[in-house]
Amino acid sequence: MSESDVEQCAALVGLPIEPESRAAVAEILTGLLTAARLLMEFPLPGDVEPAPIFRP
Amino acid sequence: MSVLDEGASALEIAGAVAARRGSARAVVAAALDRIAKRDPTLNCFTTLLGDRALAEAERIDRVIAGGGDAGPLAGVPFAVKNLFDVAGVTTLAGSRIYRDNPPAGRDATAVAALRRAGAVLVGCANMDEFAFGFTTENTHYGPTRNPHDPTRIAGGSSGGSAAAVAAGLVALSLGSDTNGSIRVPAALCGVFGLKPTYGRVSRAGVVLFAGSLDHVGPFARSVRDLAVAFDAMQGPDPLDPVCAERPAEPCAATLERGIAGLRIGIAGDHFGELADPDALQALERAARALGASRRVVFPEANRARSAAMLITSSEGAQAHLDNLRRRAADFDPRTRDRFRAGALIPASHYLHAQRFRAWFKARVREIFREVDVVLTPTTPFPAPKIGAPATTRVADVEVPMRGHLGVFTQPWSFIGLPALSAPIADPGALPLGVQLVAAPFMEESLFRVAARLEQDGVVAAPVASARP
Repeated sequence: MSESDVEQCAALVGLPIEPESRAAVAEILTGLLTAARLLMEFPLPGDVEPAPIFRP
Repeated sequence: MSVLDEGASALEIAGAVAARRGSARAVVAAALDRIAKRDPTLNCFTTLLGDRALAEAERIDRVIAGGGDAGPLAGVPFAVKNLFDVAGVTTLAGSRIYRDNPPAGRDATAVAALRRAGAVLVGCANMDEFAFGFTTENTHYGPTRNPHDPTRIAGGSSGGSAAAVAAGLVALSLGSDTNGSIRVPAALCGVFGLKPTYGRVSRAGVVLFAGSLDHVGPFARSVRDLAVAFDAMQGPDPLDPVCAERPAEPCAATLERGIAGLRIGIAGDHFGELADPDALQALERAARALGASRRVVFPEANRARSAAMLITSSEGAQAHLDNLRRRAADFDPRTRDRFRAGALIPASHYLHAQRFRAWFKARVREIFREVDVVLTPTTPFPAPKIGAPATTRVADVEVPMRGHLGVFTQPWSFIGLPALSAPIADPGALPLGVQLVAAPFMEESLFRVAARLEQDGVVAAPVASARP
């Protein structure tokens, strides 16, 4: 995850991030995406639904 | 012991006040005196409510003088993490941004419940900004210092609440726990802390961090105080959409039942790795005292932790996205870029984490058919120094100093299980906790085990005096 990746992703969600902070955000996001990779490679059965509680 | 002493328990205070052996006013005035003496060093409080607390204490004394019942916590001074709404006080949630908000119009449900039970709110306590941290190194309001060693952190994010109880400034306090924010500071400050089952205690009037993971709960210096505080707060609340409709199941009356019939195990694998030997020895000591030797393995606990981090970062960022866009410079530098990174996590990752949560919950539920209470260390090491380096080595592996504090707490809050941190009795050493975990809504089992450990002198929370 590079600083320019951060700039582009942030633009997609309309979040301005000043240039001097992009490296720090990139480092944190890299850590989160590493955690996500560990998770995404786990083969979940297709019938598992998300867990949030919603009561109408 | 006089009920004016720093070490008086909540129930000793309430008993004396109810019997008119002491006045609520004198108890609260003594608490305010202790705060005036020690808090300039410890920095537990961001708001003090001295006059209001004294007036409330006088009201309680009048109720009792008139023959009335002022409640099971009559006259007990307490503090709340400053993300709980308190009528007439601006809810800071550890931030500078919320300082501009108007005062809350009413008390949070949990605060109102303790006040109805007769407890007297003396102030609001320091925390990590928006609850995003395990250290209470808050840049805006300064770090809260550990009462056992003021050069060290109190833990977080409910650090002010835990330290205030540890130092004997108050007998009870409230915190919130998304990934360990009650249990971690309880362990590092040497007090009892309970994260109840998800939905057991209302979060209405609490600034949420990551709503699908947020819990609130109490800190205390005895198991019985903790149980009475929990009992005063637990139960349905239509104001919190995730609060369980299940009726309250009081625990304080069950403490004498002992541990007969409870199957107690020790969590293996993930929960026995990447921890200092002291933390593992503390756990073994508790296990030996309980006669527990069975190792229980929870599959994919490390992935559960990863999923909890993704959900926390995503939901936390979403909650503050507007302020991240408009007022980024007003965030604590310790949280700002972590919130920003959370805003950039793809939705597919977030949803996969929520699906993994359902899977993990089902696996763990099966395991809790065979065991009632599981023991783990609460934290992998004792309180680090304030301003410590970003990483440390544990079992020859480099880990993030601050994030790793939640390695043993996150897998349980991830699926909403009740968990209690009890302080290992070890005079002279920095505090460490043992974490007790049970199936959903089985807080009673946690309290019974904690009561046995306390009775046997294995866990204890004496008032902390700073070591030289």
